[in-house]
Amino acid sequence: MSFNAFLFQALNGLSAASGLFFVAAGLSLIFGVTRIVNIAHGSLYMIGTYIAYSVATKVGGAVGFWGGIVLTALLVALIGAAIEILLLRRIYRAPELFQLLATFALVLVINDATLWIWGPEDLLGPRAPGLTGSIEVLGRRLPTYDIFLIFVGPFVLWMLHLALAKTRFGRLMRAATQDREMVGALGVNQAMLFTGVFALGALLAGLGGALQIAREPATLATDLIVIGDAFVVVVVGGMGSISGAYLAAVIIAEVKALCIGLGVVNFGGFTVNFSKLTLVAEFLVMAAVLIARPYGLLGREQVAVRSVAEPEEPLRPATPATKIAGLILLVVLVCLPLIAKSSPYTLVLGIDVLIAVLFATSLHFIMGPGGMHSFGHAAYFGLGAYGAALLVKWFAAPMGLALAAAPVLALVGALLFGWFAVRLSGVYLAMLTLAFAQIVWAAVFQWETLTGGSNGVLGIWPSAPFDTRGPFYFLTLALAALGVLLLRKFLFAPFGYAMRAGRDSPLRAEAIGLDVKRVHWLAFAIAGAVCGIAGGLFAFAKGSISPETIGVSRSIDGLVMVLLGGIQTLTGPIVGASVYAVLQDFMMRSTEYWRALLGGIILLLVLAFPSGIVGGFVKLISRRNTTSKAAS
Amino acid sequence: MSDLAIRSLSKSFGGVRAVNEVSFDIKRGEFLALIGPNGAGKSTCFNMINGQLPPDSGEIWFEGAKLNGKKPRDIWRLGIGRTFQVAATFNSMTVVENVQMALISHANQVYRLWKPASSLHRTRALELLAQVGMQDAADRPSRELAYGDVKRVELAIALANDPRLLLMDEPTAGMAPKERNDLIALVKRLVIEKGISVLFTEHSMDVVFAFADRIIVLARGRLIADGDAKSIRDNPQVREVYFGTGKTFQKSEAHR
Repeated sequence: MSFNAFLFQALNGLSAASGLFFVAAGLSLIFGVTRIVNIAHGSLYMIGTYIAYSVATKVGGAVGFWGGIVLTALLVALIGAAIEILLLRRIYRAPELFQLLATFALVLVINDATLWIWGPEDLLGPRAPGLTGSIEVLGRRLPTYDIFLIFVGPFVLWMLHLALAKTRFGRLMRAATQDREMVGALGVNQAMLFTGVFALGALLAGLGGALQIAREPATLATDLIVIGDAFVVVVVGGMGSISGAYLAAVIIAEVKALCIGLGVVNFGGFTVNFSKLTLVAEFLVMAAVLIARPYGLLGREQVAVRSVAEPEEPLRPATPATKIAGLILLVVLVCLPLIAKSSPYTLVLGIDVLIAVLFATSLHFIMGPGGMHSFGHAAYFGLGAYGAALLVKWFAAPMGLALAAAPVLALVGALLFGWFAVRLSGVYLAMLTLAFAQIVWAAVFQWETLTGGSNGVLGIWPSAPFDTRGPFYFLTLALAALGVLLLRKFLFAPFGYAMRAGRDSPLRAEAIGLDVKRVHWLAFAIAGAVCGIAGGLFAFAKGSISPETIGVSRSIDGLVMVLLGGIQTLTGPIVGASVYAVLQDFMMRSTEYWRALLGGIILLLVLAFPSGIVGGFVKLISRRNTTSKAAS
Repeated sequence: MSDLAIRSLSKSFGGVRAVNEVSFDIKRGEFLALIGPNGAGKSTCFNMINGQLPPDSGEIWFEGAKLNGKKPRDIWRLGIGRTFQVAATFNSMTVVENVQMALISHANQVYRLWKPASSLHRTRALELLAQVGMQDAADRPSRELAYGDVKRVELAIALANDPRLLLMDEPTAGMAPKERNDLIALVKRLVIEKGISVLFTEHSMDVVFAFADRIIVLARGRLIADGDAKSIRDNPQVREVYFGTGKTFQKSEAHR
């Protein structure tokens, strides 16, 4: 690549960086003040693209386009404020992860609302009036609108800096970012502050979205893509740092642009296709940054947030009632094939639910007792599934061997990724695990010669005697029950206690001789291996495996299952996974707008049962006990 | 023979020399109080001995082993127990499980995956709780305890590895006067029974003068006095750092 081409790509990168920066800055501001990781931020951006499209096409001309951008930003800010007032305000006291769940539900609702209003087609907006031309730069033509975008980013950065430094609102925001309790103690109206910050963040997202319509069409897939990119930018730049967000946006956009620019390069007979690296590039950057600077480029170590979550009850061995209930459940599950004679679909769903249970329980193992909130559990599911599938594809391995290899490959992956992940905590750990999962996903997606790329691996059918539905169901049931009981056993053993000790008080744990990182690392590996079994079973149950089944959405599904059931109970993930899997299946078959319905149900649960289904149930019982005791 | 030997220990934070060339010894079975006004460097000193902070220079020896560069968990394994200024227990466990956790670690059983932890070392854990008078609360969640009781549980945890030296950073902080006395009296009794050496920091002079075998005084990072209760009480330099000279405001008035 010539030097000029290199510079040209760098300019392209800068214009892309501006869009990234807007979303990331909003996300970062909101997190800094409210400590909410707003997954719906990408959705606000997406709404921005659609509203701006509508205004620009309906009104038309320069007024429609440029006025539309301003109007869009304001409208999205209003939507943001409404979300904060109607929903988030009610759950600030809920555990951090529950807030995450709520914003995820918003993603589902907003996506379907957009589908309902604007339809499924991609909508290409008009070109920017006044900036339709292009300028010759370095022998190539660069659209003037891109040049405009290059300058908009730093300009907004500068404005934000001014606002943060000079205005009262800005000072309050910085103060709240540093110590929100102190700001509350000083008599600041926190509700207003939080609403304001959320509106500002939404405004930035809407602005970013609106500015994009002259370059790219508005599509429904934008929300998750943008939020993924924005997370990476925020984490690389350092949570809560605006300048960091810009710096990170530039770095990531540049690295991506360079990968495209480099194309296929020969290194002494060894060919690397850099343009294929674009999907992983940002995650590689993030992984590298987090390993070297755990709090991002310009971030500071987070002040320990004084936990508002309810403390956890000690683990008690299962009561006779629980044991009997478990036994009954097992008997019902064993008898399921009998019921299924009349409706064969029951077994298909049963297998799905059992795999989901195994997946969610293994995630809960590190999330609950380990306190490590993994956002990338799909990685180990994927490693297990692909490990098994590829053995069948390339070596015609029998099912037994392939299923045995699944947890081994997942274990190796978890040992490798976990070693880095346990060095971080909180949101940073979540993001690093997400990065690793994306790397696995991208590797599978891009390495076509081995994995079949986006088509996946087909024709992975179980071998006899499991080649019919009934026996395979029993195999799944046996492995799932074994996995769940094994993990439960571990939690009651010294190892599980050591995990909780390290989570409850790392300082105290180290002071009684526990190697907390090592304990958590091994826990990570165990969870990964068990998750690998779920992946292997999944591949054989479906007869195929493709990249889309091991993407971000699976990681998020896992989180939702665990939180839905209740993170502080051991039966929580089982109930959560079952409810979620059945609900999803049922709604996907009954309505086109199943996402919105699912989101609505999640929101309802979050508001009504802030400690999950099982957690809420347990609390209800203990409350009834205390009142009956008081009465007697 | 001295149990713990501190030699020329120093630590700076930026331009502040928090601990400056401090040296002292603790003899076997000695109950040694480390006192000093706020900011004297007591906690820094403590955190270097227990491995939380690396010293800039100087040496820490325990029974002939050099502690510099060792991690807290390794130092604990050498036979040094500790309690924290802000009591820290494992909140998701019961009181007895907290002690059992320490016993499990002491017995190198942390990585066992099978036998339930609650069945391990329970008798010994209850004994330890009995020693600090907490056996009745054994099966309560530790997060429900009153602060003074949490301190006692912490003491039981700290005794779990049969330490030969106990480091207690403000063991009575946040406690009522009566509770303070009881706790220190308890520690003192255990020390005599088991022959443990104790290094503790304390703000209550009543407690210090009543129980400590020997007292060392830190001020602005330097060791300014070392002796028994009487010699410390009469030491003019100690009086000055605690009460001041009474001249601070006279000077400023003179300037006006």
